[in-house]
Amino acid sequence: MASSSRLKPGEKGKIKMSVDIRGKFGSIYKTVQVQTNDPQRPQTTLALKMNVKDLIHMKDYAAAEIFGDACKSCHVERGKGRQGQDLYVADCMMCHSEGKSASPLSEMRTKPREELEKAIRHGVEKTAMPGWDSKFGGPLREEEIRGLIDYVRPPSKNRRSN
Amino acid sequence: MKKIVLAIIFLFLQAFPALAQPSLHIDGPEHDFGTISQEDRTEHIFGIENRGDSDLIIEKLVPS
Repeated sequence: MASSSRLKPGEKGKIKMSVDIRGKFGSIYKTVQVQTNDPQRPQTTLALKMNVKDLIHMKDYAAAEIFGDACKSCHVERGKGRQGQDLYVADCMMCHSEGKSASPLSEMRTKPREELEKAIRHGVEKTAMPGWDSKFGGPLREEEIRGLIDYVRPPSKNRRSN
Repeated sequence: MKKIVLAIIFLFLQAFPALAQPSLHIDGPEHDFGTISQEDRTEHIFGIENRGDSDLIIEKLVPS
């Protein structure tokens, strides 16, 4: 936002700029291009640089807090109305991928289906994995849970558990 | 010497007002907040000045 769109010769003004960093972290570089009638510099760029430390995920949370007010905009809302792989991408992948805190998909696919089902429904004790089943306080309904289990561990590949 | 040059420029501008131009000056067009946390504010005010001799018009601000 500019304080005024017209400056007389010698007049000073201000341009206010801010960046919304909610839910973001790492290196951020945002610019605003200023277009004026200055014939030498009709376009000038303003930039804000920052390195956002991820303090939110450095704290020790109880697993169930992931569905609470501070966290749900990322960990609950994004998955709403999604199924199967889409739901996995929205709700699970943020922790379950290579280099993140939880086991990646490739590793989960080697585990017995019933073990995964139990982990998804009830969570895993002493880890950040919460229970997702709505019957136990989670955000996912029965068909969503089933779709997720089928995506992570397709039933055809593990007949012995069914 | 400098004064004479400035005086000549001044006279020149007086004589040819059609050459008067606005000139945008920005104090530090890039601001680095360094390392901050998600709770910190990221607002910054850029100081600008018209160092030209006719009105400067800010036509548009286009965010990236």
